[in-house]
Amino acid sequence: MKKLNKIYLVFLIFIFCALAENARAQTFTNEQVKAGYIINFTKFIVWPNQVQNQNVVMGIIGEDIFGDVLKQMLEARSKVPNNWIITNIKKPEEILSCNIVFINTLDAEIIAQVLKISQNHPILTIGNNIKNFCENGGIINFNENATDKKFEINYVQARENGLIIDSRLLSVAKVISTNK
Amino acid sequence: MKKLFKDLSIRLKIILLITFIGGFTLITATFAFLTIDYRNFIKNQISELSVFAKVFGESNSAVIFFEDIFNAQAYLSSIKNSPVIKNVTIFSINAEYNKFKFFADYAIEENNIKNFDFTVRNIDTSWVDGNTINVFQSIKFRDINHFSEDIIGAIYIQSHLPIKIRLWQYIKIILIVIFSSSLIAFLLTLKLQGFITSPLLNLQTLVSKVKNDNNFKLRALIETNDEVGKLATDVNNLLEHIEIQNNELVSAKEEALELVKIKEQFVANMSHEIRTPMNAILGMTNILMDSNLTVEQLKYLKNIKVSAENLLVIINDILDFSKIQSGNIQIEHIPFQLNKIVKQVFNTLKYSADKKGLKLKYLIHDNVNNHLLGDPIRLNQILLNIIGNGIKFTEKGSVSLDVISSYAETDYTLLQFIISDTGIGIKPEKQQTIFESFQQESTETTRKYGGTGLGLSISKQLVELQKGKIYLKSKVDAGSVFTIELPFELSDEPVIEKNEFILTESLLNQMQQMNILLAEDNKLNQLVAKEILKKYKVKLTVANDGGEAIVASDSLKFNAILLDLHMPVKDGFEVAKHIREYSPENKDTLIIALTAAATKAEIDKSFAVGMNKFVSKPFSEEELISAILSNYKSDDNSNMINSTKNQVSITNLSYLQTMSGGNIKIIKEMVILFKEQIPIYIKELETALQNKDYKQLSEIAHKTKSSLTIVGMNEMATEMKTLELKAKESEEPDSYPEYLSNLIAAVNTGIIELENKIELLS
Repeated sequence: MKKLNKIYLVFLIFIFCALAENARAQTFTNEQVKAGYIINFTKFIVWPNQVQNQNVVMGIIGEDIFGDVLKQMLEARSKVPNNWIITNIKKPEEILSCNIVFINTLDAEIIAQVLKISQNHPILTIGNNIKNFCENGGIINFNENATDKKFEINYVQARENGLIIDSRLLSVAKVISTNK
Repeated sequence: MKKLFKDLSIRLKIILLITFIGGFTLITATFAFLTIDYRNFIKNQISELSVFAKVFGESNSAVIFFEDIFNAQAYLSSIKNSPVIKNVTIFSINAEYNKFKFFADYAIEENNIKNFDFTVRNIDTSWVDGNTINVFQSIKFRDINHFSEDIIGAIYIQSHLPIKIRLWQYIKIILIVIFSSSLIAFLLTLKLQGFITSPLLNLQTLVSKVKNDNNFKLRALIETNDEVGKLATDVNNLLEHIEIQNNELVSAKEEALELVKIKEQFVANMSHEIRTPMNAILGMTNILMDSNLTVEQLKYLKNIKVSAENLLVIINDILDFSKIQSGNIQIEHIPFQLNKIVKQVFNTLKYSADKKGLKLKYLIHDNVNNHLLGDPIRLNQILLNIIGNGIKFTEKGSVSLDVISSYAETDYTLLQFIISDTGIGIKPEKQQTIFESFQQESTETTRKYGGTGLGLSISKQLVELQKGKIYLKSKVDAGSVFTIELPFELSDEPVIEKNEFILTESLLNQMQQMNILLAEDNKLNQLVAKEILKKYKVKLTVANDGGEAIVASDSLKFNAILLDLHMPVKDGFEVAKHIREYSPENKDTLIIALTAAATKAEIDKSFAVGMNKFVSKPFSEEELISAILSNYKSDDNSNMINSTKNQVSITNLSYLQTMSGGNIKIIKEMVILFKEQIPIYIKELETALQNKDYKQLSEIAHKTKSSLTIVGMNEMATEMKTLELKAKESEEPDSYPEYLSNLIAAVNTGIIELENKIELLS
C-alpha cells in the first residue's frame, strides 16, 4: 500500500513538471499568435500563378505590430520555404504589388480605399479587428473579442479576387459574405 | 461404439461416413476460413480506423494550426454518432521539443491518454488490446499548393472491436452451414449410395437365393467393373465351379448306386447259385433217407444232412450280413404274438439242446404284453442266434431266456430278453470285440466250435436297426448273460393268424385229384420236387424251361403251377406274365414262385407279374405242400373265403385239430358242445350280475374262459379272465355289463365262423 502511494506520488510530480513546462511554452503574445496565424493562412490559400518558393510580399497598413516577431517565427520554422518581404504601405495604390495586405488601422476611409483597390486582384486582405471588415469586401478579419472563432473569412470575396481558400480553413473561421 | 458401427449395414456405413467426413471437412474449412476472416477483420478494422484517423486528423489540421479548441471539441463530439469509437485524442506538435502535446479529446471512457508521453518517433502505430483497437496516427498537413507536407500533430483513437457480435455471427453461420450442408450431404448420400450398395445387395440376394433354392445355375449380373463387379465375377466362377462339382457328385453318386445295385444283383445271383445245389443236396438226402438203408448208411446220410444244414445257416448269415451292410434290410412293423415267437425259437433249438443234455427253459413275465407291433422274423432270428450261441458254447447246465418289461406306456413297451447260459464265458478283453464282424473269442474257438463269427454282429446290427441295445455280462467258466433291450409298440389289432397247415385226410384226398405243373430247369431240383409230390399222388407235368412251361400252361388246366424264376428260354417272370395275360385256362391258377435268390426286389417283382406265393429254395416238404394247399381251398370255395379273407378271424381251430389229431368228427362234436354250453354260461352270468353275486360271476367267467380257449377265441378268453379277476375282488362292478355284452356279440360271430370253418374242413 505504501509502495503504491510512493509510485503515485512520483507519478503526480512528473505530471506537474510536464504541465509547468507546457504552461511556459504556451505563453505567446497577441502579436506572436497573429503572426503565426498569418503564416498559417498562406498554407490554405492559393494565389494565381503561384510557384514554389515564391516570395511572399506582405504590406502592412498602419502600425507594424509584428516588428521582428514575424521574421523570428519564420526563421524558427525553418521548414517554411517561402521568403517573406514585409513593407509598410503609404499609399493605398501600393497594395497592388502585395500578396497579403495587413490592415491595422481604424481609418474607415483608408480601409474602404484599400478594399476597393483590392477588388478583383489576387490580394489577401487581412483586417486587424476591424468592424464589418469582411462584410465590406475584406477577406480575413481577426476577431479578438469572439469566444469561438478567432477570425472571419469572406470566401466569396476571396474567390472574386482570384484566391482559392482551403475549405479546412473555412472550418475554423466564421464565414461572412459581402453586404451588397 | 466400434462394434456398433461394424454391425451396421454397408448402406448406413457409407451414409454415416460421407456425412461425417463431409461434416468434418466443412468444419475444418470453416474454421480455417473464419480464422483468416477474423484476422482480416481485425486488419480491416485497424486499417479502417487508421484511415479514419488520418482523414479525421487531416480534416482537423486547420483546427490544430489555429489551435481552435472550440472547433476541435465540436468536431470530436460528432464522433459520438459512432457506435464503436470510445475515445479520440488529438495532439498538436510542439516543433521545438519535437514532442506531442495534448490538444483536445473526446472520451466516452475515462482515460489518461492525454498525459502519455508520445514522441514523434513512435507514431503511426496500431495495436489490439483485448476488445479494443488502438490507433496512433500522425496528422500530416499538406498545404493547399502541395508545396510542403509536415506533421502537425497526432491523433489517437480507441475503438471497440465488435468481436462478440462478430463471433456470434460466425457461430450462427457455422451452425447453419454445417447443419444444412450435412443435411444435404446426408440426403444426397441416401440417394446416391445405391450406386455402391445396390450391386452388393443384388449379389447378396443372389447368394441367398442360391442357398435357399439350392439352385447353382443362377448367375450374378455384372453391372460394374469395380471391386463389386470383380466379386460378382468371382461368385459366378464359384457357382460354376460348384455346379460342375455338383454334377460330378451326382454322377458319382449315380455310379455308386449303380455299383451297389450290381453288387446286390451279384449277391442275389450268388445266393441263387449257392442255394440251388444246396436245395438239391438237402432234398436228395431227405428222399434218400426215406428209402431202405442200412444203419451205417443212415448214419452217414444224417451227417450229410447236418453238414448241409450248417452250411445253409452259414450262407444265410453271409447273405444277411451283406444285406445289412448295404442297408438293404427292411424292418417290418406288423402285429405278432410274443409267446408264439419264443415258442418257435425253443422248438427249433430243443433238438440241439437235448442232444447236448442241456436244460432249455424260458419265462415270459406276467407284466409282458403278448400282442406287439414289430418285426417277428427279425426277433426270431436274433433269439435263435443268441440262444443258439449259448447252446453252442455250453457243455453242461442250462440255457435260459427271461422276458421282462422294463418300461411300459399305454401304447409302448421296452422289453428285455435276458439269455443266460452256464457255458465257457468270454474273457473281459474280448467282450468289446465280440460283437464286431468276423470276431470270435479266439481263433481256437473257430476251430473248436466253427461258425463265421457273423452271428453276434448280425444280431447286434438287427437289434440296433430296431432301435434296441444289446449288452453282455460274462465270466470265464461261469457263463454269459446277454441282455437284449428292444422297444415295441403295443398292438390293438389281433394277430391275423395264418391257417396253420395240418394235413388232414380230406386234404390228402384233394391233393390226389390235383393237376400240377412244375417248371424247373435244374434236374436235381426237379427230382426233389417230383419225389415230394409223388408221395401225395399228384398228377405232375414237368417243364424243363420257360418255353415248355408256356406250351403246357396254354394247353392244360392246372390247379397249381410251380415256377422257377431263373430258367432258360423264358424266365419265371415272363412265363407268369404270359399265363396271366394269354392263358384263359390258367388265368386264375395259383402260381408259386420257386427261387433261391430270396431278395425283396425279386419277391416284389414276382407278385407284380401276378404270382401268388413264394417258396424259397431249399424248401421243405411242408413248405411246398402248404403253399400248394393254401390256395387249393380258396380255389374250391372262392366266394366264401374271399368274403372272410379280409375279416379278422376271432376263432382258431388249431387247438382242437391238434387235440383231435385232425379228426374232423371230434372237432365237430366239440364245436357243437361249445354251441350248446355257451348260452347256458351267458344266462348264468346274467343272473349273477343281476343278483350282484360277484363271486358267482367270477366262477362262471372262469368256466366260460376255458370254453372260449378251446375254440381259439383267445381275445374273448382274455377278457373273461380280466372279468374273473375283477369280480373276485368286486372291483369296478360298473364295467361288468360291458364284458357281458362283448361276450354275447363275440360268441354270436364266433359260432358262425366256427360253423363255416367246420364246413370247410369236411
